[in-house]
Amino acid sequence: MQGIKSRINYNIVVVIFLIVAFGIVNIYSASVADNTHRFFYHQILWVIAGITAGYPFFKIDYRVIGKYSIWLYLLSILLLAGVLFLGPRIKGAHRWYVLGPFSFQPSEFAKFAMIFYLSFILSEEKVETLDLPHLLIPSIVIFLPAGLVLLQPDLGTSGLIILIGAGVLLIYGISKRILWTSVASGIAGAVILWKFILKGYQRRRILAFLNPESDPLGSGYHIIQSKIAIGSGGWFGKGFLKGTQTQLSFLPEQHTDFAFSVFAEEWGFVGVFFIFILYLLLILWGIDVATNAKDKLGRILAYGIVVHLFIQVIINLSMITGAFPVVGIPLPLFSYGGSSTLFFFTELALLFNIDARRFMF
Amino acid sequence: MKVNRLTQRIIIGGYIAGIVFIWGRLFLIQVVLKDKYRVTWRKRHEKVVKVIPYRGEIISDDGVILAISTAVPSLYADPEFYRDNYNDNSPEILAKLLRIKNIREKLGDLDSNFVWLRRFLTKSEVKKVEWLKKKLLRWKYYQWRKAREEGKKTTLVKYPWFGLQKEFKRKYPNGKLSGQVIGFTGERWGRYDGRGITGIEASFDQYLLSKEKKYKLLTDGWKRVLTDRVLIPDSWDGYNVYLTIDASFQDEVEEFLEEGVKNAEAKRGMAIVMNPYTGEILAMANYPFFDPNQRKETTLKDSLDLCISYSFEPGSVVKPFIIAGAIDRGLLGINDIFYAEEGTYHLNGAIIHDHERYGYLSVPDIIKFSSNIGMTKIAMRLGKLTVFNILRSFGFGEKTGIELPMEASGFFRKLREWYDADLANASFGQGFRVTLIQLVTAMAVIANGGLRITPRIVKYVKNERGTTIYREEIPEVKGRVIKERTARIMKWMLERVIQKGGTGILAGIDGIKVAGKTGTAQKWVGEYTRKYYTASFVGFLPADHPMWVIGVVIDEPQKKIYGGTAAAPIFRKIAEELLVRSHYLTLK
Repeated sequence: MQGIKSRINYNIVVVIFLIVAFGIVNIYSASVADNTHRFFYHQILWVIAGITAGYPFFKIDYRVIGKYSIWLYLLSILLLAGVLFLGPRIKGAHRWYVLGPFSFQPSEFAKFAMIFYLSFILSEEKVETLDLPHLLIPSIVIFLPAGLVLLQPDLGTSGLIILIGAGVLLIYGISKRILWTSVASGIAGAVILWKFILKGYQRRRILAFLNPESDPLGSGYHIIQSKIAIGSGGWFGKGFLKGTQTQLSFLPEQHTDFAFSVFAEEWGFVGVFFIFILYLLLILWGIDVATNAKDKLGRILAYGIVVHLFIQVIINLSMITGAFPVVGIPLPLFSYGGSSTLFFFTELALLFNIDARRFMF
Repeated sequence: MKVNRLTQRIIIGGYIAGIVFIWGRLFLIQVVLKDKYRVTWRKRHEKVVKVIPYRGEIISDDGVILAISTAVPSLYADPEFYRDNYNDNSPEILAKLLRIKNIREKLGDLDSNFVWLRRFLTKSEVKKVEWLKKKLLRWKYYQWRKAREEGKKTTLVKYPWFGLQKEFKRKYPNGKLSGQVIGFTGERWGRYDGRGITGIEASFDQYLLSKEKKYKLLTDGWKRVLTDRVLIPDSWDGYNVYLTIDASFQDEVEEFLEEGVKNAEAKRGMAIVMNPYTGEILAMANYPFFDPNQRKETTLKDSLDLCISYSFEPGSVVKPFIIAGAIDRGLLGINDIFYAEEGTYHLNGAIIHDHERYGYLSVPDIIKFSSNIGMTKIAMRLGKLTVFNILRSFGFGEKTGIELPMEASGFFRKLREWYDADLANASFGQGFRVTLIQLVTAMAVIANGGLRITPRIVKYVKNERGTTIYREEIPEVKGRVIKERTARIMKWMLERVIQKGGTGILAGIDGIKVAGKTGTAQKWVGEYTRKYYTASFVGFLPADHPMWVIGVVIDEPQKKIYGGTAAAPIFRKIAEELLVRSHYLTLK
């Protein structure tokens, strides 16, 4: 048997490398006002950390890791619970563990652990379409981390966890009855959410999204600035380090959530198109891995990872183009974000793992 | 695991819809609506304002700052911001405080977002503006709080509709010192672009002031001007211009000139001191003085640098040049003798006089005593064409090329319009016009051994990195006019002018060989009269190894009318000052 490394799809390695490289270069531009280039160097360190952390998830057979996925899941729940007490209050929320100059976001870990453990549970499932009794445990697996994240509070990530979980369940297959019921209850839930759970600033963000010009100096500010940045980039952009929306700190969160606005301003539609193609190639490859996976766990896990990647790309791009409320979801592999980068590398390592082992039995 | 068809459709549909949606969204914003966002972007970030950018300094060779720009606040308004957030009577209050007339007219079209209300505020005006700003914002805060208590949702206006922006104003710390040479800029007289109008300010404008006059002020989302983050494409801080002029020496020269003009009860005076090898001007003085700080009361004419732009009939001071040319061409021998007709000479109906009755004169004596009749006879031997060519070869009738604006080239009649009387007149410097800088440059030819050089007044211009960006070859030699041997003969002849019996004896200094030539020309005021003269003295020292050429012209002296009496003493004082400064002479 040939070595596992010989089964790596190196074309996709190049695609990932390009996304990450453009992301890092873009972070340099986005944080140029900060002379230390702190974010730039940190992101490079996080990428190295991500590759290192991803290595065992590639090397060890995913079926073996799958058996231990419950421990990963439980650890993530523990960290999520702990951050509510141990995490410092940053911008009104307990989201991070702070370790010296670095910070760790347990919700990123939770997304990954949830996908893995959910896939493992479903792979053990015997029925073809899930009906109510089969949905009980998966729902707990999804809503437990989502609920803990909501307490931080972090509405965006909480919703994202539910969306990913639902996506995984959908791919497995749900009975029609459950599907329509959940759509209906989803709408009802949204109403309850709006009325009782959402905080004032969260509601304002959604309102601002619906009509950003109504409050240009308040919540609509992010979206307007982002759209101006992207729109003024035009076909070819203003050039590297030339985006004034960025360089004059008009854009909020320019190295994280709005990193792609910076890129769009400086590289134009042509640059944006290029990066978008890279993401498409990555996602198509992920689907290919999933469809060709030789066992149930591999297939569900691969789909889960693709769903995670896809949803985050779509939400982030919708957000910065003003088609979705500002929810604080970074662009995978591109935005600055230690934990996010770390676990996306881990998930990609798992995809390579599944891909490499598809001929092995 | 079998994916069921409904969920499969949902997944594929969602996937494609997501991609198409994002793609369309990006395309819409970045391609279809890009102009709209470009406009918004520009409007949000830039206020294009004409501000006088930082203008470089003019610095003398001894490090004295002759012109400098200082930051002074100016008041601007943002009419659009006023319309959107104020729309009250605050402009009238501001107008009353600062006595601004027609403030509504100035605010004008309320769609613009930048307009100047008042340039260069005084300190008390700045205080008034700050006071009003505080009052207005307090009022706005009160309104906002009241509205909030009533449950209305409004945005708090945090910025006033007017503001202060620093601009650079030109100042001349040394006042009149070499005022005409430095010139001034056009930030008054309704021209606010700060461009140089005369003098070095005009000729080195492109170095002193950035080409792009427009400032782009960047503003943030609240239209607040980020003055500390100004982006100026194609614009830079002006460069400093370093002059060859020595300011403390210039000051002395101006003092001597003023004294000399007053003693002679003359209309005006000019003086130039030049290095004959490099062409560098050490001093260039005009009297009456001109203070660029206070040019409101004076006219533009007073600011002219007459040393280069005023042309006059030179008189006898040109005699050595004609003789030098003649000797150099082999048409005249140093021992040739001419009969001076005992002071009166009739030539084709014209009468030529000498100021004394001379008999037979050698060529050196014609120079020494400045005999017009002797010169006439030499000129007649040379002929019109030769005299004309000799004068041209010394640079008369042509700009010297000094780095100052409005240089005159003097005036020559066309050769075919020269008659015999004109030839005679030309031989003693009447009938054509020259500038002082031409005379000094011509005298430098004799002083430096026969080379015509370009006078220079700017030593160098350096950019912000210290790289020299303006520096012409020194000396910039235009060519050889006379042989070195001829120059040596002329030095000896001109030395004799200062000696006993010569016309320039008052220019003499004990222990130092001085060479030079006097000139006393009648001014043409419709006719040549015995009332209006131009007295001059141009010379150099030390005669055998010249270090400085000095030219002095006194226009319309009333009391001492001769070059030897009105101009030569000024020459001597300047020369003595030079000798003291260079330790040639110790103070007596």
